[in-house]
Amino acid sequence: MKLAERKIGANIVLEVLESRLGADKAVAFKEAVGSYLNDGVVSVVLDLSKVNFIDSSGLGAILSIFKRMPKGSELILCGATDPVTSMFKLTRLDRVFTMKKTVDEAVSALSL
Amino acid sequence: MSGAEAPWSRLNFEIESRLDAVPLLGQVAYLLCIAAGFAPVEGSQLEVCVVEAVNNSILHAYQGDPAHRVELEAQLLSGELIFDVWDSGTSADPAQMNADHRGALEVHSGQVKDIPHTGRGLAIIQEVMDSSEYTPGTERNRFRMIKRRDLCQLPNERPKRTRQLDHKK
Repeated sequence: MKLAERKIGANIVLEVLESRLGADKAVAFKEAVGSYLNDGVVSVVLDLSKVNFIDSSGLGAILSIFKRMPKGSELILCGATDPVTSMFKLTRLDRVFTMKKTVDEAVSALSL
Repeated sequence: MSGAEAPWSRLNFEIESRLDAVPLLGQVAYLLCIAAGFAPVEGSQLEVCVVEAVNNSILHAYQGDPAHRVELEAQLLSGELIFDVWDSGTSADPAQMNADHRGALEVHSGQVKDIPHTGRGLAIIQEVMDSSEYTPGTERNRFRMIKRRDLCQLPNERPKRTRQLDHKK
């Protein structure tokens, strides 16, 4: 699972460098992002701008990460492409996650 | 929806029952949808449906064993696009497969811990497709998904429907 990281204080921006988040990548994705939480990262901005396909496994992986976030921390999604945004809306998960258009908007939205 | 007819009527594709082989089949399904005149975002949603059905065959019918085959058959008819996903693994319960799963898409943002992170595949298929049907067989199981081509609105833009499987006639 390819991720690019940029630390901002105790928070981190993770850019997903994969074009697809499907069942074949979901476990590796959860483990990769989860490793940052284990390292003491507080809040995460997940940049999905390079992802153009996501299925129920990919959505489930992001939801699983969200549930693992330490109390008081945040997970903000940004850069979702049209196909990805479409799946969040279809599954109503756009009501669960904070979704911003750009990384800068997402970082600004972090309250920590 | 464009008025152009795609130059094909029935195509068959086959992959090994490995999850890392599924994206190729998904991308083929997407291209067929575009060739059939669907808009890109709708094509992406239809691609997800095919991927979900193939994943089900690999993970449930074959329990993840990569030594089998999953077949995708696509038919373009005058008014509809049909995707059939075939496997020869363990049959699922057709009553469970053909039940209405769309309730799995209901979420309440205040209860995140209660939102399951699995179990949305069939719900997505039923939400996107006009109809779907699982038919177990003695030699092969078939999961059929039908999308009518005269419906060009995206599923989440359509009026709320009653909950029955074949609900867009």
